Parts: sequence; C-alpha cells; structure tokens
Amino acid sequence: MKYFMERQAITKQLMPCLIRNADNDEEIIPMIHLRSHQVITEIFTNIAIFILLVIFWLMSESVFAGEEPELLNAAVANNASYSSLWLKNNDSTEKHDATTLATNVSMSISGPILRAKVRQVFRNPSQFWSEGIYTFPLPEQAVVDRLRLVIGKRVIEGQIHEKQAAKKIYQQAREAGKRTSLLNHHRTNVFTTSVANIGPGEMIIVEFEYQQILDFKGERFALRFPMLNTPKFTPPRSRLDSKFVEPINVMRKEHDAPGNPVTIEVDLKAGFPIETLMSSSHAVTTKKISEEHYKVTVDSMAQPSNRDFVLSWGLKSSGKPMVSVLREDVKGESYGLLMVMPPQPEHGTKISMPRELVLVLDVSGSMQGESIDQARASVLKALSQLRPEDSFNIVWFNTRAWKLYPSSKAATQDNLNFARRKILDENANGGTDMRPALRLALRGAQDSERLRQVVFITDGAVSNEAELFSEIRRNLGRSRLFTVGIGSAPNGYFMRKAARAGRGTFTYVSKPDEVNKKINYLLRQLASPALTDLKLDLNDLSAMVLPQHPLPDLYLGEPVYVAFKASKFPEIAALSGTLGGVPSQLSVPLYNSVQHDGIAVEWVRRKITVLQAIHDEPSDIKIDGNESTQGHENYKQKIKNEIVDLAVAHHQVSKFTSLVAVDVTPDVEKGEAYNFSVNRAGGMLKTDRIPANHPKGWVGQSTVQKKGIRLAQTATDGEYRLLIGFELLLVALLLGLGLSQIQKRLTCFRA
Amino acid sequence: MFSRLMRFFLRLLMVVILITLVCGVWHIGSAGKIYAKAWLAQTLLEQAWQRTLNGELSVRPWPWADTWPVAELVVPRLGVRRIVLLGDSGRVLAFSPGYTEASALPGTYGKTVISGHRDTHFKFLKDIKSGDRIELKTSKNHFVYIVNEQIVVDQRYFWLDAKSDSQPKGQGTSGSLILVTCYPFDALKPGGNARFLVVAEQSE
Repeated sequence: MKYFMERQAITKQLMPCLIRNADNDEEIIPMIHLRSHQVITEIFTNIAIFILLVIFWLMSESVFAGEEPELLNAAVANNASYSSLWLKNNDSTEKHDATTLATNVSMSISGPILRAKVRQVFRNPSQFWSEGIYTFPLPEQAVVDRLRLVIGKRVIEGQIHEKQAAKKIYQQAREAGKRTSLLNHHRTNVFTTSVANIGPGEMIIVEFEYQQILDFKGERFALRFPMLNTPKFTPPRSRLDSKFVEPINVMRKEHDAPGNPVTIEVDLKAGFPIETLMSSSHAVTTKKISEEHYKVTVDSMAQPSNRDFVLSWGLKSSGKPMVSVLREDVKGESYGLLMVMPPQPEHGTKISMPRELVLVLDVSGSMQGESIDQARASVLKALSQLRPEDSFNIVWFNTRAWKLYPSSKAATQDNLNFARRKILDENANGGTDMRPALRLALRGAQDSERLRQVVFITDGAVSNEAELFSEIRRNLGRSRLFTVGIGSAPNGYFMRKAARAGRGTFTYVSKPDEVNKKINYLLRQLASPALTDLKLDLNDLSAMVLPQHPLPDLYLGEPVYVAFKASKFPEIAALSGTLGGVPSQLSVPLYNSVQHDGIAVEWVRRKITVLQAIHDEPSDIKIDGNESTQGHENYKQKIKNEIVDLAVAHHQVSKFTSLVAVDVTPDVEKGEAYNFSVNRAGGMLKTDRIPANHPKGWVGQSTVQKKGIRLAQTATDGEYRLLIGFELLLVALLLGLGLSQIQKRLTCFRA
Repeated sequence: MFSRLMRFFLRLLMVVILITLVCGVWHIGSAGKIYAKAWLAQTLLEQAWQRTLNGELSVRPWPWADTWPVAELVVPRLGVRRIVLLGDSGRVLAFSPGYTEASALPGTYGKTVISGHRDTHFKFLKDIKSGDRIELKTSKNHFVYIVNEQIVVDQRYFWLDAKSDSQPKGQGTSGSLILVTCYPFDALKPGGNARFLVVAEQSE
C-alpha cells in the first residue's frame, strides 16, 4: 500500500513537468532526461510492486501454514477425546487428563520358584469415563494364572476363557458400562491389560499373579523383572505377512519425564544359606531375617520403569553335585521338578581341539549408546582369549550383514589387530535384520576338525522371532550358537530360545562394568567341554518328561531342570550323557523329595510351551512326510485345541487363552455419575494407551517402525507451482510491456 | 554515454524477462507433469488392475515401477473409483492412492490405511459424509465400509496404532479403513502437518 501511495505521489509531481515539457521545445534535453528518468522509475516501481505481490503470496502461505497447528489443536482436542482409534499424544497440554498407571510388584521366592503378585493401579483423573490399556513384558518363563479386579473394597476374580471368547466377554461388559478387565498374552513375553469403564476420578486396581522358575548360572540364582520393551524393528520383507507383524507399542517422547512408577518387594526364602545378595540394576535395601531368608526392597519408592530389575544371590558351595527334587500331588497325579548340577570337570580342563570362533555383532540403531560400547568390549575380550591354532571371523549386521574375512582366518597377531581396528570403526545405525546375519554366521563351516562356536551379540530388538528360530534350526549344522544380550532391555525370550535352538548358552549383560565378569564366564564355558546327549530315565513308562529328549547340551556351571508328571512318583532317576567325548552316568535319588507348591503349574507351562512351538512351526517344515497345506492347518488346529483345553483346565494365560474379569455387582453410583452416562455407553469411552518409557541408554531415533505408522505426505506442489508459474509469466509480460514502451519512446526520440 | 547506459539497462531487462519467462514456463510445466502423471498413469494402472483381477500377482503397471495395484476403492455416492497401489511413499502417491504396508490387511482386524494426495486422487474426501459407503475390492475379496468419523490430526504428534490388537489372520472381526490426506484442502504449499482422516468401519 505504501508503495502505491508513493508511486501516485511521484506521478503527480511529474505530471505538470510532462505537460510543460510538451509545450516548451527549448527544454528538450532536460526533457529527455526527465522522460527516461520517469520511465525508469515507473519500471522500477512496477517491478517493486510485483515483487511485493509475489512476496505477499509466499507470505500468505506461510501464514496459513503457521496457523494450522492452532486450528488443529482445537480440532484434535475435541475429536481425540472420544476416538478410540488414536494414540494419545504425549503433549503436555493433554497430559493432565490421561489415565495413569502405577505398578506394585511383590515377589515371594521359595527355592527355585518365584511367585509374584503384580498390582497395576489405573487412575483416571479426567471427567470422562475411560478405558486404560497397558502393554508390558513379563519374564520369559513366567506364566500368569490369576487375575483380580479390585474396585474399592470389592474384589472380582478373573475367569479363564479362550482368547476370542474372553475378548467378547470384555467387549460386551464394556458396552454395557460394567467395569471389566482383560489380560491378554500378545506375543512371546508381552502382555496387555485393558480396563474399561474407569469412572471420572476413579482408581481401579488390576491384580494378577505369575509364577516362574529362576535361572541358575555360575553358582548364582538370578531374578530378572523386565520393566520395558525395547522398541522393535520388523524388516520390510516380513511386513506384509500378518503372521510376522507384531503390535507396536506406544512410546513416551524422549524428552518427557518417565512415568509408570514401579515399586518392588522381594521375600526371598532360598532354601539354603544365602551369600552375596545383590542387584546390578537398582539400589536395594536388604533385611536379613535368617541365613536363608531375606527381604529386599528397591530403594526410592517409585522407580520409573526404564530398565530391567536384576537381583541375584549365590549359595555357599558345598563341593558336591547339587540335586534338588520338588514334588506336588494334584488330583491323584504326581508332578516333579528335578534340578541337577552335573559333576563339573576338573577346574581348568580345556578343549584340546582347535576352535573356530565367529563373533556376530549387532550394529543396528537400537544398539546406539551404551549398548554398542558394551558389545565392542565383549568382542575385544573374546578375541584376546584366542589361541594361535584357533581361527576366527567377525560378522556385523544391521539391515544387512557383512563379514570381516570371506572365510575364517587364523588368530595371528596381525589378523587380530586388523579385526580390532575394524571393530572400533563400525557405528550403530539402521534397523535390525538378523536373518542374513545368522545365515552368514552359521553357514560357511568348512573345517570339520574344528569346534565351531558362534557368539551372537545383540539387544534382541526384533519382532520376527519365529522366522529366526526356523533359520537357526535349518542352518545350525555342527555350529553352536551362544547369545549375549546387551543393554537395558534385551529381549530375553528371544535370546534364550535362540541359544536353546542353537544348542549353546545365553548370557545377559546389563551394565558396562559387568561385561568383564559375564564375558569371562562365557569364554570359560566356550573353552570347557560340554555335557551332551543328556537323557533322563525315570524307569516309569507312564511318566511324561519335559522338555522332551534330547535335553539341551550343558555347559560349565549350568544346571539341568526337568519337569515330569507320573501317576506314581518314581524312586530313582538315571541321568546319562557324554562329557568331552566320554559317556558318563549319574543316578539321582528321588525319594527325599520336598513337597512344594507350583510344580504342577510349571509342568503345564512347559507342556504348553512345547505345544506352542509345534504350533508355530512354519508350514514348510513337514510334520509327517507328505502332508498337504490343508493337512497342516488341521494339525495346527488340533494342537491349538489341545493348548486351549490344557490352559483352561489349569487356569493359565497362553497365546490362545485370556483372563477376563467383569464386575457384576449392581452399580450404586452417586447422582453425579449419571451426568456422564452418555460417555459411559461403551463406544464413547476415552481410551488411553499408557505409553512405555524409553530404555535407559537408548538413543532415540524417530523412525516409522518405532512409533507406529507415520501418516504419509499427502499433497503435491501442483497448485503451488501453477500459481508461481503464472505469476512469473505475468511479471515477464509486464516487464516486456515496459520494455517495448521504452523502446518506443527511444525510437521516437531518435527520430 | 547515457545511451550506452540505457542500452545496457535494456539488455539487462531483456535477460530478466527471459529468465522470468523460462522460470514461469518451467513451473507450469512441472505442475503439468504432476497432473499429467496422475492422470495418464490411470490407463496403465487400469490395465494392470484388470490383469490382477484375472489372477496374476504383483502386476507392475510399467516395467520399471516399484509398486503395483493391490485394491480398488469405490465411493458410489460421489461416483469415485480409484486404484490403490502398494506403499505410501511420494513416488507411489504421485500415480494413485497408496496402501500403507505397515497397516492391517483389508478384512483383518485392525486399521487399513490408504493415503492419497489432497489435490488429485483424494480431492473427493472433502465431500465425504458420515454414513457414506466405501467399497474396497481386493483381487479376491470385496469389503464394504461405512464412514464413521472425520478427524483432523497433527502428524507430528499422532501415530496410528494399526495393529495393537491384531489377531491371527482369518479370525478377524471387523476392521476399519482409514483414508488419509493433507489438510486443509485449499492450502497452496505442500508439507503441512495437518492430516484429514476419514475413518470407516467395516460393515458385516
């Protein structure tokens, strides 16, 4: 506008001049001067105006663009509250009315069996009726068998149902406005609790119990309670096959304060004098009650759940082979759990045959931060222990895999130094695709004289696990696969099962200062002869032994756990195996067994695990020689029915069964609640997915796979370009007009 | 001296005009290319889709294409018919709406996500109303969805959780279909953060 006014002013000034000049021929020279000056000014002004117009266009767009979010937030706030489709954003503006969660865990340990009671407190601070959904991991050997819904003083016991039926019961209760809760086993060790119809300002407690057999390794019992899921990566190849795709968890934004506080109490009755009780992950307070009985509390009441809780304790070594037999009699059946620590070879006994060591190192994005440093330290440690007659190779992988040498090379100083340099050079980024890496590492064995050991170091953040297990089974050959879990949340289920399939061991490293100890232990295992071809004979044909034969290979310091069921509890068991090529046998007396709760539960869990593994087997592996796909489907269905029957009979949550609790008590509500009856009618429930925290030491990257589906870019710049194009053409036209005008005047002047 | 200056100025002006002209034509040309691509590709896509319906798999509409038709989207009330390609990258969306590979497969429990450009293939979304029927035809099946709600979200804060309740294939209860396009419809410049989502529930 200002320019317009100035221009008009200039024109007005010039006007009298022009007229006067036309009348007075004597002043022709100044006239030319004036004329050209005037024309040039005019052209410049024109240009200025058009540039201004163009700028205005551009500005107006950016102004619109700037306004969008404001408009948007209002629209979003209105819609999102009622839509059960969307993830709640973690924006501070909405935080105050999202459903929150606090977890209290109390564990009681008796011998090798842990029973835990987990209380998830869902609190709804908003004025709407809401539904809370929380996805969380449990230890991989855990089995959930009880669910209770606690509303004020009322306690509603959960019922076990087939998964679809349970979901239906939950949804019907949800629609009817009854308080209800559902506990689902999603995949491997991931569970989800949903609670519907949490009243405004109300608090509902979902309480469930799980049981687990503790790990025993290196003369220590270890308890690991996972507190978060590592964000997982599914390779694009698998993404269209719905069988492989796993649920995507909601993650809290990185800069947000972590939530979901957890308190943990442990009541530890070890059954033997406890030594060096400690936690490598959290600060804990221990209270000694007796030599065999301790109470442990995790310090600072509310720990945000951003790393796994680890507690371990040792036993005073007695120097004898350790045998423990636990027994439970249920409904005329006897269940037993046998733990045997086989006699160890003389200390320092080493394998004499040369070894081939293949180190596989995960350099994907999820390893970034602390994890990659720990992994590098482990690899360097492993390299330093090689003898000159051994050979080695290194495989790195993220979405693809590559090797140090085309085939393993002798462990000479030169080769080792070259490898060390390379290890420090590789940085962590990209997704995780383990399949090519496993294939590369497991295949390519050439020297049958050597003992081939593959050490696989990763944080296990993958979701196409089934695919990987069949890969291991197919390619294992003579190799043995040892997995090392690194970082604050390795996927223990995957790592343990991969090691099991690869007939090796699993090692978990949670802190950098643990690397040395844990890796040393693994290296000792690698260098010591293993106990293979294990067999347990109960002298009872009716007995069902789990896991089935062959039992896994046993490495230094690993016990064997065997669960069995028999109509009559056997007197004696014979354990046979081959130790470093020499057959050996051990006779285990069973008559001094101890009555213990939870043995039947453990046996059923193992049975379901075995059935589940058969069910999950990919269809290209034939169960019976020449079966058709249809036959395979029928077979799968049969296995599934078997799992459902067993799980329902024993009240256990499995992949095909869920626990559901519905509050049937007539609802006596205060008058106020009726105001919100609209919101209470099922469909209008506000759904909050409680976001998980980021693992400690995990450097976030906002990739599609980690945070759910990112919406696509859905506009072309077609219209924009059209406008700019026409704008420019218009400018050119006007400039051209100006030009022709000047030329006309100039010719006029010359003439 | 003056006339030399004048001549220089005139030449400069000529150059400026020429550059402006070329730029203008180029912009219009590239805009034309976008529309031409969107429009011309339809014939090839149509052929590829017919072959897909006849039982072929992964029919590339042109030999170097990195996508192929997976479904056909029909909105009877608006007389709209679109062929849906695999993937939601910019390269795919230039030709036709695209199915987001990470979302649920049509007919399974979960959310099926299809994205399209607000100024070409999905321009019709601004006229869609709750209760409208959307038909999605895959090579083997035919699904009917009813529009349930239309929502505007900011893509910086919202991620679709398409599979959180996913169930094994073949056991699905009804799923939902989500059509995604940019918002506002008349914004000039691409790259805004607002998305317009049409949520349709599968009808039995």
